[in-house]
Amino acid sequence: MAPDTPDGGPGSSRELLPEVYDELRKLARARLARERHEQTLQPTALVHEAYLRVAGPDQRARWDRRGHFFAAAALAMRRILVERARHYQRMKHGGGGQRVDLDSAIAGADPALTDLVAIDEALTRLEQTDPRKARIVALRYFAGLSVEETAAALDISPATVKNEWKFARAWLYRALDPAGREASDQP
Amino acid sequence: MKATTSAADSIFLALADLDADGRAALLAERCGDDSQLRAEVEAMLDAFDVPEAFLDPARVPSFDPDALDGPLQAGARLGEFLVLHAIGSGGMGVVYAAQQDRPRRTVAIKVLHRGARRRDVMKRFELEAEVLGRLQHPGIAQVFAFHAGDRSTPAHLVMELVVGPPITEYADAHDLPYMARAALAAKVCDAIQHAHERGIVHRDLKPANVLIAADGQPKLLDFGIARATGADLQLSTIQTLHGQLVGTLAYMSPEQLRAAPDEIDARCDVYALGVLMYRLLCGRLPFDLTGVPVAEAIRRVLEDAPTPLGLVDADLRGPLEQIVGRAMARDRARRYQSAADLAADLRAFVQGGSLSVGAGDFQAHPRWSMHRRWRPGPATAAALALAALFAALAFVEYRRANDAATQLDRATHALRELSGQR
Repeated sequence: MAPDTPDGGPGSSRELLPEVYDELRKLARARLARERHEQTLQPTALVHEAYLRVAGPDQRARWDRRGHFFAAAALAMRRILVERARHYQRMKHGGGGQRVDLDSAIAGADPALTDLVAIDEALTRLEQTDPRKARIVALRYFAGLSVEETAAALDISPATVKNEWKFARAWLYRALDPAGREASDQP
Repeated sequence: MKATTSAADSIFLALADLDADGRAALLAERCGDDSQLRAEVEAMLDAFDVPEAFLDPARVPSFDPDALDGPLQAGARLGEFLVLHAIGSGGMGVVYAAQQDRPRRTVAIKVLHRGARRRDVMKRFELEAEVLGRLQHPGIAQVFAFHAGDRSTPAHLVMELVVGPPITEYADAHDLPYMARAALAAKVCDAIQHAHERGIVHRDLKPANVLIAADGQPKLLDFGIARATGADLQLSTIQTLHGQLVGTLAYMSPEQLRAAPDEIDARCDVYALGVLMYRLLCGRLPFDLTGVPVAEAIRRVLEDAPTPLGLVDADLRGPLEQIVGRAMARDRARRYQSAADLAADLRAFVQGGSLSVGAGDFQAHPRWSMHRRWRPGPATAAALALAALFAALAFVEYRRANDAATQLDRATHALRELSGQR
């Protein structure tokens, strides 16, 4: 079981990224073909569905690859969502050129999307001080893994995941909104 | 974050790995007698309780499946192409630079949005791409192929990759004199003429679609795309709702704004060339439509007279003012009848020859011929009604991006029937 190596090297999640990306796209497209009225997709559900398709019937045999798959999927989802959120922000602030991405202007109206940019930036900072905690956050938040699944994917104990997740969440929360700490003390 | 030093951050994060005793020990060890640092870390530990909803995977914002097509990753494959990087996004989709295996070359690939992927649009695109493939001119970005897409590949258009700034930026960056700007515009006319001779009208000329390549050659992008999609009458109108009333609408001819498809011919490109030259020569658009509601913007283009070039900049009085004025005549019968005629006058001006825009045309009316009194007719009424409808529909679009294109089509048809323009 290889630890995740997000920054390159053979078998790393970054190398797997195009493949996983492709899988997510195919799945989204298949879903659209099946359910014509479906307008939006829930990212973490999509990731899990994509994994089931890739893993095939014997999932246990592919534990090793599973960790990489989810790491890559978390990375892909983070990029997709943040890219879209950024685009929306640009639109909202008047944009630059004459050419407007109409779809984004419409799909990006969700205010939760704009929080994503802030989360992404804070997560990038966390990556520098504590890459493992950042990886845990990505797997849990962007790929929707449970504590146990995250532990298996990173080859660490569930207790460690729980502990670090708790700290990383608190750190990110504080990083995003220093004033929010006082506010949250109030009932 | 401002109040927290990075030292406090890293101590706080390190504490996660330890049990309660270990935490106390590490806290003492790392903070030493730095009471301020210790207080900061303790404050972080105190504020450990984070709302449940924060970073809850179930609350990751859901997204439009198109987002998956938006940022294709470098290294992704699209048919026989290897995606290198994104170049930009337009009304139709996202454009990427990509590598083709055979022949080995770098191309531009425009991946169409799902909204642009309706079946009828695809059909028209296929037909159009075949015609466009035959346009071969140094001033036109060559269209290589169109793929209608399938389950695993989105619809995409493969084109010549043009790297360079829009014509207006190029001219300003090089501080080009009027003569050079006029000569550049003449080259754009040549490319337009080439397409017109093959029965293809651009319909969406604007600086963003006229790039200047490294060798100084203007290259036209997106030929015929507007015809394939009808986008010139739909997208541009909706975009304005998002405060983006720039570009497209300002370059649209009165007949396009009146949504009169039967009147759209080569001369609507001549009009757009006039607007392009106006912008190129004096740095502003003939009509200031910034922040103006759609209906009012259309009314202005249809009814108001733009400030003559010579009044914006006295140096532009005379031939250039006349040439641009004639290209932009509201009545298409009074415009240059071809891009070649316009190019001929531009070149005559550059070389000091005599122009076709003679005394009879302009000196009798020192202000432009396009200032002829215009009476509001049923066509304008229809255009204004259409604009109002677009605004309403665009609101629907905001909520239901998917069906809006069909609805717009229906609305357009209904209006045309109403105004007897079918």
